[in-house]
Amino acid sequence: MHDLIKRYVEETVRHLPAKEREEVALELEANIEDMLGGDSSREKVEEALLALGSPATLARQYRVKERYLIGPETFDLYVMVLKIVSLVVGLVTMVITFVSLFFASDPINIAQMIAKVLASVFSSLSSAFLWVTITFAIMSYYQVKTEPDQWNRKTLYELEEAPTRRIKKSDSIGDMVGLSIFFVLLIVLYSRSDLIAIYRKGAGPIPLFVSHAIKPYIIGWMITTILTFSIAVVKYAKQFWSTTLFALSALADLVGLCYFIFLSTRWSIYNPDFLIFIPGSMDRWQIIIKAACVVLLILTLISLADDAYTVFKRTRPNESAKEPAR
Amino acid sequence: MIMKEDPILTNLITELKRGTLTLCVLSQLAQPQYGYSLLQVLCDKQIAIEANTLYPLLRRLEVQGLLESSWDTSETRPRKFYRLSSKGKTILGELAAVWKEQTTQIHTLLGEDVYA
Repeated sequence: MHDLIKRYVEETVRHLPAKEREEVALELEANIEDMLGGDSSREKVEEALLALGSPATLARQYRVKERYLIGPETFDLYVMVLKIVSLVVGLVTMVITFVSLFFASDPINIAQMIAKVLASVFSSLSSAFLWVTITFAIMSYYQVKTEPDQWNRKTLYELEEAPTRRIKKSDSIGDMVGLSIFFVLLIVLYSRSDLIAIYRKGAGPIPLFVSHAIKPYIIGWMITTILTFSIAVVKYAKQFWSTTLFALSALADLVGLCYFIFLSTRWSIYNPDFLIFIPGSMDRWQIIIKAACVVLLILTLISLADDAYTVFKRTRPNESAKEPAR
Repeated sequence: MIMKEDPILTNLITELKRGTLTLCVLSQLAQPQYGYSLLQVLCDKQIAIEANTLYPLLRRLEVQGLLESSWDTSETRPRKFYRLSSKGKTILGELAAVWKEQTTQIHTLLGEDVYA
């Protein structure tokens, strides 16, 4: 057999699953030989092989199913997740790098600062892209279903009819970024709570918190933050208020608020040495904290009322929008 | 092709032909054929099909269970012969019925205006 045919066939079956290679190779060789019609001159062989097309194209035809890194069914979801992750990761990295540069010991000029921020944003975006893509590629490979394929009367009437119940994307992203930065602050607070302190000339700083007392409470705070963050992600993905979503969101807000009130009124976490600087000491401090809690409570309730108004009042689904009983 | 190299047209023609090629191939496999001999048969009957489309198609149809294959080693070169399986026969019957129905309908549609 002509050497060129052997090379062509080898190259073609290389792209196929191992268990199919041998048989396809035998068959393809025989077919090519037949196409030559007994004339195995170099010109004839060249002509036949060129007519068959490139080995890669031919091998693609042999495969029954198209292969994708990320299949068409998951692509929309992939793009959405990629957007969220890049936005949050990018903005958070930017803020944190800026802040850390301000506290850096050796001074740097503005150009260096911008360069450093850009570099760290770029590197964090690259790894965000990498990990999201790897996750989705694995999901595609194992053909994980991401969309419910139910389509019936019930789901038809569940389609959102009221544009006024839209959740602004910028709001959800703002939430995610804010919460991520807050989470990083909590990590800092967990490891170095003594950084929040009164700094005096010629004497050591006096920290606000008793480090070992506050640590366990911060973990709980991290958990409530993650909870609120997940709700923000759901809000971004759904884009519309529903009663369930509102209930979840309100619950997360209230849990966060209650936890804050609980934590800030554990009086043992405050350093007595610090409180000396406040006239009236512990009593006065307790009043300040309680007042702050009340203000926070009122603010949370106002924001919840605003959301509730959007969810329940702004839209009265008209009769045709409801699924008629049959 | 009259309008040469129009990528949209080429793409549409490929899509239009894709399904019909299966029908053509199945229709000629009541008798066993190997790749090249089938290519000749189709060519004689004015069906333009490329070798690089036909060979993989035969294999895919075999994987789907519409064709059966056997190796003939009695001649100088071993050859893989394909013929319709019983499932293939049923499917061919159904496909042919759909095809006839559809061509009638399309014929009517095209008869309504100048493209006929």
